Amino acid sequence: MAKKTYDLLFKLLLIGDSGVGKTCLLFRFSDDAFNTTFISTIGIDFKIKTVELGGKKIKLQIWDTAGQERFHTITTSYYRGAMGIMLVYDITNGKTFDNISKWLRNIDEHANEDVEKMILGNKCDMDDKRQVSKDRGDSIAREHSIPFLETSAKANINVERAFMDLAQAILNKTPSKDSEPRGIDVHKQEGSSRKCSPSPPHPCLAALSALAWQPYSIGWPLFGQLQQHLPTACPLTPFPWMDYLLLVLFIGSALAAVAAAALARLPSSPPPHPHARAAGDGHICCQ
Amino acid sequence: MTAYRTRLKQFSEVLGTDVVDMDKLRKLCFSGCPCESGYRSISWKLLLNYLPLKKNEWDSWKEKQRALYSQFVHEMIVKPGSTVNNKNNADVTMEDHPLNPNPDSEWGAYFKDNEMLVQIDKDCRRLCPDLFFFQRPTEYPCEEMVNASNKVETLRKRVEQCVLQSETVSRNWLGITNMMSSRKKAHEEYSVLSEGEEAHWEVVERILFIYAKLNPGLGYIQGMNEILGPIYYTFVNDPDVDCRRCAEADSFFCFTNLMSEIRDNFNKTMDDSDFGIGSMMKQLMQMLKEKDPACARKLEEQELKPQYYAFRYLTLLLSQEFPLPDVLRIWDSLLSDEKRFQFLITMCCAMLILLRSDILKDDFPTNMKLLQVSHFFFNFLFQKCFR
Repeated sequence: MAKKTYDLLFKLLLIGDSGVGKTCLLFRFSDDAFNTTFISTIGIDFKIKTVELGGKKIKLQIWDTAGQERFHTITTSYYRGAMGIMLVYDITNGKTFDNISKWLRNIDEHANEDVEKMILGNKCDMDDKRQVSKDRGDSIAREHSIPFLETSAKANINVERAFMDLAQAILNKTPSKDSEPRGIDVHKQEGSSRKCSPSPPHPCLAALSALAWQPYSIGWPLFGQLQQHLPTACPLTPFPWMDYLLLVLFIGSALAAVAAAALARLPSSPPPHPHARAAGDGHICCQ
Repeated sequence: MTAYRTRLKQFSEVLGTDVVDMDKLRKLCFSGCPCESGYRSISWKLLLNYLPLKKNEWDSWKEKQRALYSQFVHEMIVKPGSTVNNKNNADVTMEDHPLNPNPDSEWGAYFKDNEMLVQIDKDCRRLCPDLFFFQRPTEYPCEEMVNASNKVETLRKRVEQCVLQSETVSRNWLGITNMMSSRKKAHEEYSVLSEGEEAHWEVVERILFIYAKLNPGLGYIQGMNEILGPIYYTFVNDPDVDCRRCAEADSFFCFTNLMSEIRDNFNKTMDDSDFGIGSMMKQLMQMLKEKDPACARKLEEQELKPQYYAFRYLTLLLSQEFPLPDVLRIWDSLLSDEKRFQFLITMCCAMLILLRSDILKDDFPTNMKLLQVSHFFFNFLFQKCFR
């Protein structure tokens, strides 16, 4: 019969509320086109695309499902066979984002335990109608340790990447499952890190970046306010951000000086509280 | 041409009698209704048990039903608060308000309805996208809406998303702060009609909304729009002014009658019963097994389940598989089927058998595409299916 034109076959599933753009995402990926006028998907739809990844030809069999509750009995039967599931919401519609947890529960109930997941916030080209911030998407994805991307089928943002990342994630774990008859170079697999799963940052790093960000996020708007009251025709520097930098540096050094002075005085000053002394002496205060 | 004329004559004879002979009408419609003189509209109204058989009762019946529909519109699509405004009631605490937690609060129901409406709105906007028809303004928009009594509102506006405008503060090199609106011009996929105008899809939206309100057990299920579409299209494009003017009300009742026969297909809990979509698919597979065992076996081997394709064929009465003009022709036959919807199953089976040579030689994904993409050529099918 027909010779196999691919090395591996991955089954992917697209789920999410109705109207979030699942069909459009799939159409963009498979046909590299966009159509605003898609009829609603009834039941289940199907597309095929062959991609190359890590030297392997991979046939992606992508199932596109109807979003409405009524079709769940039909669509949940596909969860079992899926190796990767894309959960799509619409950034211009808060409700579709709220339902993410409901969909995740669906996956837990019906899909294989080791299924690769990915959350997509679609329609990110429509920033003027945005209801769900990227941070919220990020945080829910981190909470469930699922990769997350904001996409736009219309503007062709991240669509290819989303599908490729998901395929890569499946590919990465394929060798451990011995069900695949075709051997895959294991060393190569171990070498390639999973791009799509964002490794959680080191706690110290996170704290540092948060500290660094804090004065900026508070300071910049304040600075903007301040600038409005300043005489507009007296520029300090050619670039506004330089003003800000100078200000931050100035305030920063002042704060540092105050802190240094406080620290220098600290040892000589008497302990303000008996509890503090007890703790300082290394005893535990139990009373 | 003469054959066509005789057909027209036959129709005028059957529909011209005082009491319409349904058997004769069914037989005629089965091989297609001509659009001339509104034969299709009248035939469908009869086949869907909307019009009584006695012709002299038609006018009074239609009048009664249309009045009933306009009452539905009044009752179901009311802006909350519009009823209390005219009373100068001193007791403000008795008035309904958006945060009223009472279960019988108009506002409470309003917000609940809107959730359903969002879904209907999404689907109606994308009804028959190949056709400009549903984007066009209707000749006869809902009177209550246009007459600016303001009690009845356009449903579209109820669910349109409001977004707060955001502005970016930026400074130029002189240090002058600019407030810049980041709001780009919204991408208008659908041109906005002027006040007092309604697009056809908005009328469809209203019909579906009222149906869903009257059938709370079922509500709105995706795909209902595809069932209503052909009916509404037929009535609006009728040569008869009266039919066009009251297309909304008439479509509503015809749709309701049709839904009463196929509502099990839309009901999740009926999927595994003897009446739901599950049994329809089983019947189809059974028929295919009898008529073309090789083809049935191949589909079974490939695990190409009827859920993947026939679910849509059967639920939507083939309305998504063909272009609208062909759907109308197919529905002539489907609706004149006395044992509704036995003929639908026969037809789906015929469609599969027509594709047998491809099905037998291709692999799963190719066959899957073959059966899912609406590519059926009607003329081809027509020759094989209808005797």
